[in-house]
Amino acid sequence: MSQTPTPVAPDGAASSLVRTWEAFWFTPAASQPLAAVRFATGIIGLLACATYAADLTDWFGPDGLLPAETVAAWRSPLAFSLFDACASVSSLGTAFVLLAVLFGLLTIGLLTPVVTLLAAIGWSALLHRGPMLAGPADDCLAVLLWCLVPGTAGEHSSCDAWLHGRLGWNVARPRIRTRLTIGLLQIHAAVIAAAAALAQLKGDAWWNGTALWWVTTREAGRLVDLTGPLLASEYLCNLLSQGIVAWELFFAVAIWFAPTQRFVARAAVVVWPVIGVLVAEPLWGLTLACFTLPLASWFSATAE
Amino acid sequence: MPAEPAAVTKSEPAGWGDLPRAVATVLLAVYLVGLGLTVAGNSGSGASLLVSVIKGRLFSPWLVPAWLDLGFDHPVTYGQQADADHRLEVRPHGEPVWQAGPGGNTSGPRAARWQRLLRAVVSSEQEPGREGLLPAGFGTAVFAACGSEDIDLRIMIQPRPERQLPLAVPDPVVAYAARLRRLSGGELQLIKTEARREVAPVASPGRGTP
Repeated sequence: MSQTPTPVAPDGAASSLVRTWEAFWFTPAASQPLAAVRFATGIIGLLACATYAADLTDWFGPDGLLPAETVAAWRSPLAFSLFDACASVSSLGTAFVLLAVLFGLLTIGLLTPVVTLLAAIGWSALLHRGPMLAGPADDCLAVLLWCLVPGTAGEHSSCDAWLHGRLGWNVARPRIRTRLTIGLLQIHAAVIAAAAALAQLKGDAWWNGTALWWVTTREAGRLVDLTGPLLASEYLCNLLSQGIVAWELFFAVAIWFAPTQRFVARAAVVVWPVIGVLVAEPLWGLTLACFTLPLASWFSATAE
Repeated sequence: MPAEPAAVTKSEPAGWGDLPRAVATVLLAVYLVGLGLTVAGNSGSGASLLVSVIKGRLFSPWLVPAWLDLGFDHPVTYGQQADADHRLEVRPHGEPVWQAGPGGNTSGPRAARWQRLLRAVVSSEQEPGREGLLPAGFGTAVFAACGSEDIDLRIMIQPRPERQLPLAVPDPVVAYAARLRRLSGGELQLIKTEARREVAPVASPGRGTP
């Protein structure tokens, strides 16, 4: 009778996967990088609010183009908005100013954990009030805010940190919660870039390299008029159009590998905003740059 | 001189225990599955019934209110008419001159929001349950802009020139047109204006057919 082979210890792929998961999500991380994310998110939130401010009453006011009942019939039945309750111009204005104040508090880092949560709720509510007005930057800002909620973005360079110093509290230290936020930011950055590239590759304009021509001949919303240079050189038009797709694909992959991660994250802080301007979505570019800030390791020298 | 307050350090374990890690792992796994399904289920190319049902029943109820039911399906442009510049024009019904509607004199990200609104009006004509919803909602605001409760509105698209023929700027085309009026009972009535289409000549026995 042959001897029964000894079971192999589970040191293979499963255990490697567990170790990788543990290291990715549960290694305590310093929160300095999140301070930069918090500050940038607050600024982007204020800029995003500014794009609503001038037309707020025209859209959502009592005699606006988008009455609450129309929007309620339009959007998902699962959605609701706190702004639906704002039936007068004054209440609408008050709610909107409160949201802007939340972004201001987020920027300076006062009562950060509560403010981050309230800003995420408030921003989602504003988007649900007029979902047909929301663009990619708004989506990314909502994700960014929710990602910041579990983290500790107010431990450095903030009013909270100053108050803690005055009270003698030493609360800043590497935490798992911070690592969770950084991990979520990394995952969402890669998913957003990959999804954008996949969406673009469904269209001929991105394959034949004319996409940027079509973007720049759209006058509404554009920040720079590139029709002259693009008309002068088809190569430039092709390079910019296909360079955007190539960057998105490269970013979505390279952000996961240690040798390329820091380089890609640092490049992203410049490249995403440039792409945002080229495609007439500047806040989208800024928001995506914000996702990669913690991975750029600019703050690692003082992080530990 | 008052004594300096002692530095308070909140006691916190270096890492989480097994139970918090297990709970966090489950929550993260659920969220990541939801993220994958929202990307797959919100594609502009449509979604499979399987993905739609799983996402709709298990994930949408908590992702939708948080504005997290997102596909990130953002192509920027496909070079088609649907993403060209739109503009809203209105006039009191029967008058010859069209005037620019709200949002006509905007620029930058603000203009981009108006463009999304007008594109939504046009695209919603192909979406069951949403046809005419937004233009009907415009009622009160557009009546005030025109000074009349019986108005015509239309959304014009400015097609973009081909890169090879940049001087041949195409004429704007009507993407959506409707008459909107308030009836005597206070109800709004939306009468969509259908574009005339070419039709084949009616074949009659007298003319003969080959």
